[in-house]
Amino acid sequence: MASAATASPELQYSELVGIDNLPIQRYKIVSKKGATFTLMVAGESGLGKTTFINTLFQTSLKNHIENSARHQKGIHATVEIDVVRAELEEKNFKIRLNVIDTPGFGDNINNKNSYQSLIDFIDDQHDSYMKQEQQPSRNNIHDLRVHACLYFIRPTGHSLKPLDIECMKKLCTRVNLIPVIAKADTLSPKEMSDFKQRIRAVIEAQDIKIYSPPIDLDDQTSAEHAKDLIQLMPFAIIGSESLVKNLKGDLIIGRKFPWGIAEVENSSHCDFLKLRSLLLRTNMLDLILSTEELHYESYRAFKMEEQKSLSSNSDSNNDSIPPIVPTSNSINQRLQNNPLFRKDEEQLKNYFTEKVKTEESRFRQWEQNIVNERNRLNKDLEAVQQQIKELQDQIKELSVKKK
Amino acid sequence: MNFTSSSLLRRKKDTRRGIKFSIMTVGASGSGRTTFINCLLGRKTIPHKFQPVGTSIEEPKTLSFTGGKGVSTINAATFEREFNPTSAHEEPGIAITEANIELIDEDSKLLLTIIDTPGFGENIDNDVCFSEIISYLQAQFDNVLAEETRVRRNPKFQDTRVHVCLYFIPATGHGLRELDVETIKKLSKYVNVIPVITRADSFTEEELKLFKENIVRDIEKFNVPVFQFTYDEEEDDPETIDENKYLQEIQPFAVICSEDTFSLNGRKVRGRKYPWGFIDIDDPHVSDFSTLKSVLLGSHLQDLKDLTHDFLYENYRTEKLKSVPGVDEYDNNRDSFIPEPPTLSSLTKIAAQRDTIIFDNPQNFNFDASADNASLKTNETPRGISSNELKPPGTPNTFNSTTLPTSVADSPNVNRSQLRVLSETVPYALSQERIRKQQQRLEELEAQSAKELAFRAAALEKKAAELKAREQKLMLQAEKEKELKKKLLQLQEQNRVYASNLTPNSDINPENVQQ
Repeated sequence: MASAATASPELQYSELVGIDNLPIQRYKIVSKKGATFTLMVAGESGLGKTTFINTLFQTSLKNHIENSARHQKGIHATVEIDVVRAELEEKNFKIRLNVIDTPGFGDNINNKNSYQSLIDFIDDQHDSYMKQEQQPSRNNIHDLRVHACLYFIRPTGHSLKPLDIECMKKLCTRVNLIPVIAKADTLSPKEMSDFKQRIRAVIEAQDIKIYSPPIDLDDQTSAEHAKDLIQLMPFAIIGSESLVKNLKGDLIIGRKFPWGIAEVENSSHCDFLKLRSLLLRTNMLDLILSTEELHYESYRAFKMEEQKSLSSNSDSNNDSIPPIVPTSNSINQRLQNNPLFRKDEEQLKNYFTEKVKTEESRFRQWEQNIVNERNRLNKDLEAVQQQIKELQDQIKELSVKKK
Repeated sequence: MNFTSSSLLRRKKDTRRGIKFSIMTVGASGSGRTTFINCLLGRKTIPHKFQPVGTSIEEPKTLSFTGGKGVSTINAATFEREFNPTSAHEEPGIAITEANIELIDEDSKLLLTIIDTPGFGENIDNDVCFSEIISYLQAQFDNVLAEETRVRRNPKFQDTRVHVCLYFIPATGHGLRELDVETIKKLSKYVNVIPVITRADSFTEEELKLFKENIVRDIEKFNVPVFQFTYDEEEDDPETIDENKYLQEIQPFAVICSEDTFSLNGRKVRGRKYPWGFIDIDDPHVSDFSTLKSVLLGSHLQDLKDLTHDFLYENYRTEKLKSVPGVDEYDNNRDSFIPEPPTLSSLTKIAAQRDTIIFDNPQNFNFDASADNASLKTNETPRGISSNELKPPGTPNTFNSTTLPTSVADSPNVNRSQLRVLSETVPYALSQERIRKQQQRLEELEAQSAKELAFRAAALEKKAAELKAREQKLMLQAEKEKELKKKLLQLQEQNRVYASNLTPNSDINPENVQQ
């Protein structure tokens, strides 16, 4: 909206026609319509995802999970997708907010494929949006496409874990990925800078594309700001839901330790302010647009391509309309590509082949035995025949003798 | 506490030689294992992750490792020493490393062994981690077991059992994760597990309280067997009771560690410096570090060692030996029978019994068994064991009971013989297990071949019967032929008679015979 306001029509006539009011009209329309913003938080549990969400919007959007609830479900966590919808209003401008949480991620002993449900969720949203777009009436499109995904990194002070890398690699091709270092209040400034450096090195070396704000060359200040943000990546954040009194007696958002207060909205303590400005103040539009133009477009292109090749393969003579709704074929394909199912399939296959092998070897054994037996019997028979012959010979001899 | 004089003496000797203590640290990378250990020792001894090789005081040596998928040749211990962003996505597997450190203070020497587990919790699938750590712990127990039971002991034997395992719980603020529960459950069979919350500086006071409560609740809920600070109301002095009560209450310990020292009001303090404040890690109000240190290296050091030896090792030993045949049976029949002394003979007897089943010839093997016993006796006599304990076994009665009809019962050395049983059972325990397995396999093979032999024999007998039948038939035939021949002869005789009477008709006769 800010960029729309800067486009000023050139003045050629003294009398203005009134086109310069267009941005204002646009502004009215937009503010009436409001906006939708979907934010996903991913990362291991216990990194303060819920707290961060509540800190970011300064309301308790999400409740923390009760420990007793965990007990009922058992210790083996399954990755869930948890959507919270909220409508925030600031100065008459409404924003519909969707926050997607992923509790249970990385909690288990074996975390293989635990990111699959995240990926599936994102793909599902793209898919459903695509389907709705292709419907005849598309006024009420239900849009849950993820505009930004915050990936929470455990503040180990070392580097990224293989699980983090694997997950971020999968996410970065589908969504605007913003890595953040959670619980930054456990790393001293020196440790933090080392940690950030290592993470940046890994991100670069592993070819993970993280979101970077566009640098507007026309606007000096915003370019500065964007550069600033890029330099700070990954953002180190502290979250807190409580107000504490600092030494001066002011109420601030922070965490009160016996040794001091870690202030959330203090740039020398953490990068929360920078992250908030990136998410909400300066780059929200860019996040939404880049989701639309980059990630959704590429998904759509990929799907269309797939459908085209599918339809050309399956019904080349029936070229009336490409199927609007993704056929069961594509679902099948998705199922086939799911690593979980694939693993199962492989296991079953292995089991089957093994069974066949053992049976075969058993049969071979039998066959061998039968052949042996036959040989032995043949030998016996021969011996018997030999005996008979001998006896007959004897008889002959006897008869000869008798004669 | 009341010590007997001998244990006091031993302890004195121990202090001169140095007290041995072995600590294992288990926890995900970044949970602060290295910092904790260095902090405990008071100097930067163990290298940090990504610290280049050769820059630390102590280079831990790798004892064993399992590689992750795809990097099977790389050991997690070396893997983590250099920072390589291009291979960061590979699973490190798990390694077990050892570092030996001597701590000398006030003329007592502490020989610390730090067993570290780099790579734990780092993999995407962490199943490999358990088996590696557990097999390491078991191996240490096995070593001691083998040494304990050896006839000639090795004077330089090193007891490498791990006395305490510090499990580092990541500071999630929620509770225990599946990995934590499973690991502690599995490890606590072999080692005292003390759960420790590291990086406690990420919690405010209330959060820490809540987190500790959650963990305690999880421990109860999932039956996680962690180390308990127990006390005896009657025997212990009130100080110990209070101390243990307090320790039990504050468990799990929440620690903040640091290797850096800062000068504060002219005094050097180890701590962590943040933009918002400074933490003195030795301050008991903010961190249980000093408490844990005194527990580990002071008040409970001997307790932990004793527990490892008397409880965990003992249990392991019982379980291990129970799985060996003969010993097991000895335990079951302890009340009714005086067990036969040496295992070697019981072994041969088992073998003999097995053989008797197959070959049905007990006398032979009985002889062998007694011969074996005799040879054993000659070996043992220098060690002053009366020979009447070593009576050769009688006839092996049934397969199940290896105990003897009590010829030894009236012997005065019942207790000694029992002791002997224990001491002599064990040396062969491990080898016997192997032998048992082999025997099992042999038995199976033998059973199979016996079956086959029986089948063959049956087939042969059938054949023989058939042959006999055939022979009889042939004999009968032969008999018949003989009769026929007789008849023929008679006919020929008659013919001749006829011929002599009617010479022209002599040609007909052979045809008659043919009919």
